[in-house]
Amino acid sequence: MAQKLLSVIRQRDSIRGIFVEKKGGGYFAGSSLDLSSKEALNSACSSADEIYISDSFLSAVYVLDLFPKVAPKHLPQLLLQDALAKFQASGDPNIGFQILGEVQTEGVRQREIAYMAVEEEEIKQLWAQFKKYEKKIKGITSLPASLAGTVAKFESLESNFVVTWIGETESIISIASQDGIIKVARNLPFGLEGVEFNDQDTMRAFSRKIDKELTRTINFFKQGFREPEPEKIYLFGSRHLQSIFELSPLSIPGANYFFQFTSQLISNYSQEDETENFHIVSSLFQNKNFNFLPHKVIADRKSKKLLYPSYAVLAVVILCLFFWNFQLRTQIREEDFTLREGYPIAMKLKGEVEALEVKISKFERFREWKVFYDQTFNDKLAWDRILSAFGRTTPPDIVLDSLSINPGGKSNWLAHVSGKIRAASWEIGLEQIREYGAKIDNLELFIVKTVNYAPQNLEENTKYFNFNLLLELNKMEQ
Amino acid sequence: MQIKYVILLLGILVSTHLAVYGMNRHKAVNVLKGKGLAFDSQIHKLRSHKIKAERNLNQLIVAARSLKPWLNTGFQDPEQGFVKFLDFLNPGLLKGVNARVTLRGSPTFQKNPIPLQKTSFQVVFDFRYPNEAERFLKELLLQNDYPLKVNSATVNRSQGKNTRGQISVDLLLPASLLKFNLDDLKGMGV
Repeated sequence: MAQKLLSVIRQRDSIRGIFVEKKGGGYFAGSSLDLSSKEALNSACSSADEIYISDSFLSAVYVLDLFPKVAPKHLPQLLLQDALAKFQASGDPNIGFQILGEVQTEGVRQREIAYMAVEEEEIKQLWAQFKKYEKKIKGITSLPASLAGTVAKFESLESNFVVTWIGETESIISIASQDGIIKVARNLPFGLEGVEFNDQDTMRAFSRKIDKELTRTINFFKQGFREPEPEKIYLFGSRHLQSIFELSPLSIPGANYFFQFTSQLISNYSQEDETENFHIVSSLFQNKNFNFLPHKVIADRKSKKLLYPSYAVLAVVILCLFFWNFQLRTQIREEDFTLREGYPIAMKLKGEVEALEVKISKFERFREWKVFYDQTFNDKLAWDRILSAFGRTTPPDIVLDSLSINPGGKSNWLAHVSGKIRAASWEIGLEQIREYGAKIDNLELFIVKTVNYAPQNLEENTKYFNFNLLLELNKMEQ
Repeated sequence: MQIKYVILLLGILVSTHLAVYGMNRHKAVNVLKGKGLAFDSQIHKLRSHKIKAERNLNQLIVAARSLKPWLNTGFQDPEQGFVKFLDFLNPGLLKGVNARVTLRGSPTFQKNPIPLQKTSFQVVFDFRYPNEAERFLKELLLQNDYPLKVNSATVNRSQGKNTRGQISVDLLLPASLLKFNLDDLKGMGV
């Protein structure tokens, strides 16, 4: 559903408004309403979704000048000081400004700034009437600014232009840049009141009056800005203006006069309606830089702009924290469940280990007794076979001198055997000891570990050669 | 205070509360995880203990089984056992190899492997043929009545036709008795 926009214009005590809806890229407006009475204003404002206001602001000052380049936070103060110097009114002005660009003059960078200053008291008076609907009010600006801004927005312009609005009791002449920035604006305290459209004399007299004011304004502009006179002059306010100025043409040299927009501004309006109501609907197209909403309202709206994202961030944070907590709750349950699940297993194992340890403690004494029985009865050597085994395997040429049996280091028994070999030569003796060692090793009782053969008395005819054997003894099988 | 700021404040309070609550829960999760790990480690340790204990018990059961032949042997008072052993060393045993038994030192008590009375002997014997010595050694060392532990044995060829053997043995008489019999073992599942 399209929003109902209420475009309002206030001139002294008179308030007029038009409801406008934007549908499918075009604007559709109702007829002009007189909202001067409190009831009518309340009724209109209550049914509107958004309200845009323009006011004559007779105290308004329009400045377009070069200013020193200062930090953004100091700029409002700089402009206020400048406005106070130029302002005629007693109260502090409210300032709306727009930075147009930077200019280098004599090696110094300066900013070209357009600002508009309006007496605080005037804004307060206006606000007193509309305060009740402050949430709906999107903008407040001066009528010259909204007229120039609307023309600049909808017309194709290449240079400065003049927009003139002629009402019943007052008129406005303003000269603006192609972007709609006011350079000169004048409120004239007369209008079409008293002009008889069937009386050519009054029409000619009015034309001359306007021509005079236009010429003055343009001359002032030429002197002040050192720029050529504008080529395009727009004249709005009444459907009779064209006939008046055709009867008595204006005398601005080289100027083209326009009594309507090149393209249609309001889709459902006739050209006459558009010309007559242009000043009212122009409030919709005001330049946001020259918005004179009270500072408190702007600050509130700015804070709301910050507040809503803060709400959103907080909501997201709370949501995330909520899910995190939920996830942690699940994790705690899982961990707790795992612990509870493991507890009986641990208890069962503990019981089993304890039972085993009790059993072990009962059996522990057998370990010591086993050692005792192994030492005394179990691990015995075959004492009844060792000597006969040597007797059977020892040839006549080998004489055993001694046999010594002692426990080895690794719970085994070692036998040191020493003896002599009678042989013709040490080589034959060596062969004999080899054969003897092999025979002993083949016996199940012994394992030959080392053989030491040391030939002596080599010069004697019958030779005896000493030898030593180290044997490992196998234990008796039970 | 405007309601929008109250809402904002409430939102901040709620989020702070949730954050603190969440952090506490996070700590609780970590504590539980730590406990879980410790618990797992304890279960693992208990399993390992159980395996070791089972292995140990099996070794002991094997040891107990191996002791079955000796359970009914029984030993009396060490003094009586000593006297009996001296009786065992009768002339009939010693005469064949002209054995001489010498008591070395006085009996001592030792704790390991079981509390026992240890008496050391030196046995010297002579023989001409190995079978004479082996008969003697079999009767002395391979009997199952007197717990003897051989420390060393030497055999040296001496002058003439005889050979001399020398054995150092300990008579280990238990100071206490293994008060178990086969029925006890059966009761223990062995």
